[in-house]
Amino acid sequence: MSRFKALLSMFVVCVAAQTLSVALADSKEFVVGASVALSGKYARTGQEQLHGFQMWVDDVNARGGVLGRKMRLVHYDDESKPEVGAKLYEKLITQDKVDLLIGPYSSAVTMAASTVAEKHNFPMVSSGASSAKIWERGYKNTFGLYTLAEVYMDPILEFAKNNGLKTVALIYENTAFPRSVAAGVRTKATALGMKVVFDEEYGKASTDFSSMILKMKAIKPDMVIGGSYLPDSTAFMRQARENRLYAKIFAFAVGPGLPDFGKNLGADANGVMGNTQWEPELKIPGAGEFSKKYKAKYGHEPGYHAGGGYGAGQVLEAAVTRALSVDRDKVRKALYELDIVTTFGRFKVDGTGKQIGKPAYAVEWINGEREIILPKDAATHDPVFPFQDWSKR
Amino acid sequence: MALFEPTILLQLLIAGLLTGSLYALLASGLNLVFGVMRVINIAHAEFMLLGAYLAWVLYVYANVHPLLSLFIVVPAVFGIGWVLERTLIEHVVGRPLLTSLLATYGVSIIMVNAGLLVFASDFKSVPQLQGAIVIGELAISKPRLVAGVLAVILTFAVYLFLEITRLGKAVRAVAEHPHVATICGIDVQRIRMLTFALAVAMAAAAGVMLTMIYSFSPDTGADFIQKCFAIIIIGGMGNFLGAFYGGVLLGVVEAFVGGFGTTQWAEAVAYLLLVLVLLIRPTGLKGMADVK
Amino acid sequence: MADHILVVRGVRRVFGGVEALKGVDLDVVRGSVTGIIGPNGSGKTTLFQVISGMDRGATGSVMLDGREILGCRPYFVYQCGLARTFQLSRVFPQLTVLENLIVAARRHDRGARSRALELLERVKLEAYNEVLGSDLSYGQQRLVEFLRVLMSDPSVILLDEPAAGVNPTLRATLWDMVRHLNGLGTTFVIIEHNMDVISDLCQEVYVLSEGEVIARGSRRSVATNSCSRRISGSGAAHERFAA
Repeated sequence: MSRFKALLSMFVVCVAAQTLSVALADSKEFVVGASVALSGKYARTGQEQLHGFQMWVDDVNARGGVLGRKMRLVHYDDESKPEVGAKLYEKLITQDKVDLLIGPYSSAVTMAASTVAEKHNFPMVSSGASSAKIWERGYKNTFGLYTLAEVYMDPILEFAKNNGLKTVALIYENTAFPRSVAAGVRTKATALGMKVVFDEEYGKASTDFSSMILKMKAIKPDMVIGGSYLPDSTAFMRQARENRLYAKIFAFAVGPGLPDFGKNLGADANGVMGNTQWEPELKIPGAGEFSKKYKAKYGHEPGYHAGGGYGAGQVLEAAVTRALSVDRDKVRKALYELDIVTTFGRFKVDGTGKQIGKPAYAVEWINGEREIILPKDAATHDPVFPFQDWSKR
Repeated sequence: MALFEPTILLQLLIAGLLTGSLYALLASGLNLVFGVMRVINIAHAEFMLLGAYLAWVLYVYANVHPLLSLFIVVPAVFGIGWVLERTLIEHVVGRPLLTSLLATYGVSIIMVNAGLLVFASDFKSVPQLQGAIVIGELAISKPRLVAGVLAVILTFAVYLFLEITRLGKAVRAVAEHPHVATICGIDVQRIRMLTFALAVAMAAAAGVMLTMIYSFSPDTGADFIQKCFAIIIIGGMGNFLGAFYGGVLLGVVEAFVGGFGTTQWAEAVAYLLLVLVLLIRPTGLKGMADVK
Repeated sequence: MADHILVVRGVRRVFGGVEALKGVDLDVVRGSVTGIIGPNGSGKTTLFQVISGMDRGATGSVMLDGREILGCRPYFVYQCGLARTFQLSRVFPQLTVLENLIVAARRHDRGARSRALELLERVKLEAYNEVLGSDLSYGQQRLVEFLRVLMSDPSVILLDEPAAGVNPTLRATLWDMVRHLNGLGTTFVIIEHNMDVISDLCQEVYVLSEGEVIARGSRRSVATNSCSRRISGSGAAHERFAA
């Protein structure tokens, strides 16, 4: 008899404890975890991205949270290093026991972090990676926001084709992202019936492109496309001018999309085309309002990293709302099904989590300003074509 | 192939010489420090960037043309080098090479991160002296021409200083026998301060000219220091002129390899050249000549 | 009382528990030539290292012309007027003979070049002005090293076995120079094994053994001193003493 009583009381205590813990959990907020590059080479972009996350958290909580619960952001500095990022995601998942995950900045750190997320079967929304390689490993838990490097040049190539250009000179740095851009250019150019007449890789430390330009001059391509970053694209344009290399279009993957391109080149930047993931001026619902609030809060125009950070939050919010839970399987399913337009642009992924909905936006430097020229519905300015000859400047 | 036309060959040669002389300016300072102090200054390229950033700041905030800011930046970095040698580098002179490597590596890390903190990782550049001088079929980049010529003048001036002046002779004496130099009445510590300051000032001059040629960020230094190491080994460790020849040679070879092969190969050529030179002359270009 | 230009008092130098110098006293009369003898390892060269500032780990006192120089850096000691040579010749191999001399001149000496040329002429090395240090014979290197010491017109010169490894002709030139300069008033302190040289040149001789001065006096008194015979021990040193 006494034994039955003891068992009964134990049972009661257990039930009570469980109820209590559920109640406690219910009152608790959702925790979003992320590693952010706050030092090292991506420190600046990482900071902007973090501002984007934080603005989203503030906005969500001002609206009363998701599923009636507030959001809380836990973030650590990954020093822009993949190995540090991997450790931090391990910590976020196993020690901090976060409910939701946002990916780090840069393709390299995302490669490492996504492996950790995959191991724990934990869906991660990645705003800061555009290399297709991330989605070629059969992972099921990495959801990209960025337009992929492979399609960066598509609108410019289509524009060139429509204007009767036939030959492309392709140059690119020998690292992951520029190679992805170049691979995309080859595929798209072939599909459009254009010919890649010059195709050359260059080392990461290249400062002198004059040899390359001399070879190119002999071939006279209609357009020059660079899978490049800022320093190489500015150096190339300088030397193109010095060596009087002429083409109807000059387009580079990263350089011209950044304000520093114009600062570093001055008037020589005019007419150069490039890419951007996002611009405050883009005609996307919410983008203008976000930019205004961001500028009021942080004192400068948001870059695309900030827009991406905010967008990543919105995607998570939509997924949790759809899943009615933060259960990993339900959130993952919701992420696969989503087709929404965030402040950052459209979000729709394929079966691997790779972004396929967001278009590439082309920009061009026109009269010292960076204008969006393609696609037409988002454009702030008509493309200026062809590139003005150096001798007429 | 069109590439074998004389104008193209000449164009490649000029481009190579100009790039090479900038390498030479940078590398000969590094070699001078190694020669006199037996310290390999891993932070050498960071002083180049220090010069570049100072010139950039002067341009952006005071609208000073980089060629004018040379007169401010070079003495300023000279002073910084002087103080740094006295406070830090002096303590690792004469210690095992690893000690000085670690110390200067530390300086490099601090400088890179301070740069990231102050300037962020954005790429900077100064759009001045752009364009080219066109002579018939030849186009010579203005900033590169100025940088190349100035680099040769500066390197030669330092060479003359070392050869002709009493102080320069003292620097060479310290490089050969620091202990003997000191009993010849040479203040060896002061010579080391002078040497280090001079070397980083040369690097800063290269940096100032770099602002008009290239975009740089706080971690651009790594690419340059690697090439500098290759150059001083090619030229002969510790030999001032050796580094000059090595730098010019590398510039020219890079240009031709880039012209006839690919630019990708041109980047690797420094190390290829390094292996080749070491196989034929294990002490480097000038090293052998000096042993006699 | 004699006028002492260099006064060493109680100089001790310990290397990891071994006392290389155990409180050495030295009184060098201005304008004299003083000899230091003793077997290998007796501390002669260490004493020179300490006096010249090369070794700054010693205690005691070294007064040069009434000024404490112990612990001063070597270049400063040199500027104060005390110069030295090394036991093994050390010229700057990649500097020319002329440059080898010029670097050793006083800092603001405008006449360094002509002084160097004059010295080279005196020892008949003027044909070697532009020859690199490394291309000289060993004897020529010793001579250049000796001339280098003279560049600053020092008041005291320490010579560490200056004649070792030098051929007889050059050796004669060297001792002639010492005599000549001594005649002009320069003080010399010489470490030397050759007793002929010692008895010929030195007014006073110190005998060092195991870091201590075990005898001092005129050259004759030292040569006959039983003490110096005892310490000279075996081999070459003994024969030299005996000679």
